[in-house]
Amino acid sequence: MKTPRLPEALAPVTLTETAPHVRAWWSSARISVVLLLALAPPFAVAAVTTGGQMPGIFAICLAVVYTWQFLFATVRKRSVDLDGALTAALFAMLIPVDVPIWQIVLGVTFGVVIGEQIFGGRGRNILNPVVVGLSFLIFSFPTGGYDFPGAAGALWSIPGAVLLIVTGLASWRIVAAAAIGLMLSAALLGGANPVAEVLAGGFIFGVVFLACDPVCASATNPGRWLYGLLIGFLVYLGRVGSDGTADGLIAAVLIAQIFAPLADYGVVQVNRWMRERRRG
Amino acid sequence: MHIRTRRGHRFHVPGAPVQTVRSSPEVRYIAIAGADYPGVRFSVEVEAGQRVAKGETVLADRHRSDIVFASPAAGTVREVLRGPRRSLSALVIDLEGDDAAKFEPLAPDAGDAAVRDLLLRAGEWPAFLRRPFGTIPDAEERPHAIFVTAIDTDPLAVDPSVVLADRRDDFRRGLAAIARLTDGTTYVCHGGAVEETDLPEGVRAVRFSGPHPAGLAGTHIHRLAPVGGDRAVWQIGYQDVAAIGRLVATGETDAERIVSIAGPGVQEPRLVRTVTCADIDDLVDGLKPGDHRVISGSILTGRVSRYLGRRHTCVSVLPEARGSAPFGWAEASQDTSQHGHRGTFVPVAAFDTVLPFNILAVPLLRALIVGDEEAAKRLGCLELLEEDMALFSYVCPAKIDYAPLLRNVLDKLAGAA
Repeated sequence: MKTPRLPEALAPVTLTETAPHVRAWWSSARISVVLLLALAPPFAVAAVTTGGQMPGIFAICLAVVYTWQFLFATVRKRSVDLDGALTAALFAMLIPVDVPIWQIVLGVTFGVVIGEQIFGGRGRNILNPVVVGLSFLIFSFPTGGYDFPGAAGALWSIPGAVLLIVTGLASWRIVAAAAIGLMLSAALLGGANPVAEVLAGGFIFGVVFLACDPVCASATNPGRWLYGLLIGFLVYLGRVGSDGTADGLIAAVLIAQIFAPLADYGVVQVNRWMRERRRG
Repeated sequence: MHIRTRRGHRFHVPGAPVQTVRSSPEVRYIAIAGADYPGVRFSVEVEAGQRVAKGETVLADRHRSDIVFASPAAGTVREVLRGPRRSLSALVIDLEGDDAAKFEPLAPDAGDAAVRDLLLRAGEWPAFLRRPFGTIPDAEERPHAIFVTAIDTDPLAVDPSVVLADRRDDFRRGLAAIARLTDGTTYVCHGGAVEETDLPEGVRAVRFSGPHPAGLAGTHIHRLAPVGGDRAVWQIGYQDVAAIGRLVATGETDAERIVSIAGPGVQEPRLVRTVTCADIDDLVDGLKPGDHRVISGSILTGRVSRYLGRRHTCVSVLPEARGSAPFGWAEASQDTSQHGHRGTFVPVAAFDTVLPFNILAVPLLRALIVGDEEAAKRLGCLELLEEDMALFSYVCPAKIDYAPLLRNVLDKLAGAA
C-alpha cells in the first residue's frame, strides 16, 4: 500500500504547469488555517469556561477524526490535511463536557465516516460532518445540553466571523440572509426582539462556522439567499417552545443543507430560462 | 455605449511595459505552431529548403482546403516538426529577403464574395475565431455578428491605443472590409482606443471598462450578442483588423505586430515591433538574473514556447518559484508558485466574483469536472472559450485547471453537432 502524499503544509513548493501560470494565494490548506484562526477566540473562551475539560475532549476528537481520515486517505492514496483539525475543534466546542467518552467517539465517528468519508472525503460530502455527528448524538442520546460556547463565546466568535466574511470564506449572503430570516420570523410570528434573537444562543457562531461551509451550502448567489433565509426561519421555529439550546440550530442547518441542492436546482432552471429568453 | 463590468480581478504584476515602441529586434526565425489552431489537421504545402515569400501559402486545412495559412515573412523553409500522431508541431522558416506575394487590392465597392476570397487566399482568414467552439469559421459562414477586440485587460498587455494611433487608416479600412462578411453588426469593443465617430457602415463601437476580463471577447459577446442555439459570432483582434486593412489597400499581407516584453523577470519592460510567430529568443534580451519562465502570451492564458503564438501580443517573463519557503507565504501573481496542491473542488464564493456573466459559476464548473456536456450546455458553456476560464483556474483553491475541462466538453458537443 502506498503511503499518502505529504500534507501541503509540509511539502515543497509546487509550480504551475500550464496556464494560468500564476495562481491565487488561497489553497484548501490555507483556507483551513484561516478558519482555525477565526475559531481560536471562541475556542479559547470555551476552554476556559468549561474548567479545563475541553482540551481533553478536543484531543479525543482530533484522534478519532484523524484516525478515520488517515485510514480512508491511505486506501485512496490521498493526503490528509488540516480540515480535520477544524472538524475536531468544532466537535469539541459543541459536545457538552459531561458526555461519556464512548458517546463522543461514536458521534465523531458517525460524523466523519457517514457524513464525509463515504462520499469520498472533504469536498465530495453533501452534509457537514460536524452537523451530522451532532445530530446523531442529539437524536440518539437526548440528554440535552448541546449548546454553543455560552453567551461570552458567542460574542467572541464575532472577530472570526468578520475575518471570514471579509476574506470571502464565509458567504456574506448566507450570514445576512440567515439574520434577516430569523429577525423577520421573530418580528412577524412571535413579536420577540429580533436583534436579541440574532445575538442569542450562538446563532452567529453556528451560521458562520457550520452553515457557511461552502461544500454543503447552496453554491449560487440566489441559492445562498434562500438557504440563509431557510436557516433563519428554522432556527426561530426551533426556539419556540424550547430552552434555546443548540439542538434547534443543528437541526436547522441539517435540514437547510439537505435542501441546499434543491435551491440551486431552482436557480439553475430560472437562469437557463432567462438566458434562453435573452438569446431569443 | 459604455458598459462597465464589476466582477473580475485586478492583477498587480510587477514589470508592466512602458507603453512606447522602443525597438524592432532582428528576427532570424519564425515558426507557425500547430498549437495556435487546435483541432485543425494540416496539409503541408511546402518542402524543407523551399523559398517562400511573405503571404505565400505554406499550410492548408486538410478538411477545408480553401482555408490556408501564409508565411508571415519571406525566407526558406527549414523544417516541419511533427508532434504526436503526425500532427503539426511547428513549421520553421529561416527569414531572409523581402519578397512578398501580391494580391489584387480590393475595389472600394467590393462585396462580400471579394472580401472573403482575398482573406482566404492571403491566409488572413484564420485570424477569425468562431464561437461557439473556438474554431476557424467555415469559408461560407455568415456570422450573426463580428466582434473586434480593441481592448486588452490581460496583465502586462500592450495598450491598443498606442498601436492604433499609428494605424487609424488601416484599422478603419479593415473594419469596412470585415463588416461586409456579416448581415449583423460588427462591434468594435474598446477601452478608449477608438474614436466612436466616423466608423464604417455596419460598425458599432462599444466601450468597456472594468477589471479583467472586461477586455475579453467572451465578455463582450455575452453582453451584446450571446451565442448558442444556432447563433454563431466571430471574434478577431485589433492588430489583425489593421493587417486586413493594409492587405485590402495594398494587396500585401502584413504580419507586423506590436508586442509587449514584460513581467517581473524583464530588466526593461517595453513594447517591440516584430512579426507574428517570431522566435522569442530574438525578441527577449535583458532578463534579470535567475530562473525564469518565458511565456508566449499572457500569464493567464499563454504557453511556454520558443515562438510567439499567432494571436499573442505579449511575451511574459515570470520568475520560477523554486527555492521559495515551504509554505510559500509570498504574495500571489509574482511568480509561478501554484500556492497549494491539486485537490478536491470546493465551491468557494470567489468563483462568483470573477466572471461578469449571467452564468452560474459553480454548477457550470461541477458539470465540467464530471464531463457532463449536456448539463454544461444548459449552463452556458457554449458561450465560453479557454481564455474565459483562466480566472476560475486562478481563484480555485483546489488548483483545478478548467480550460482543458471546458475543451473536453466543447469537443464532445462539437462532435455531436
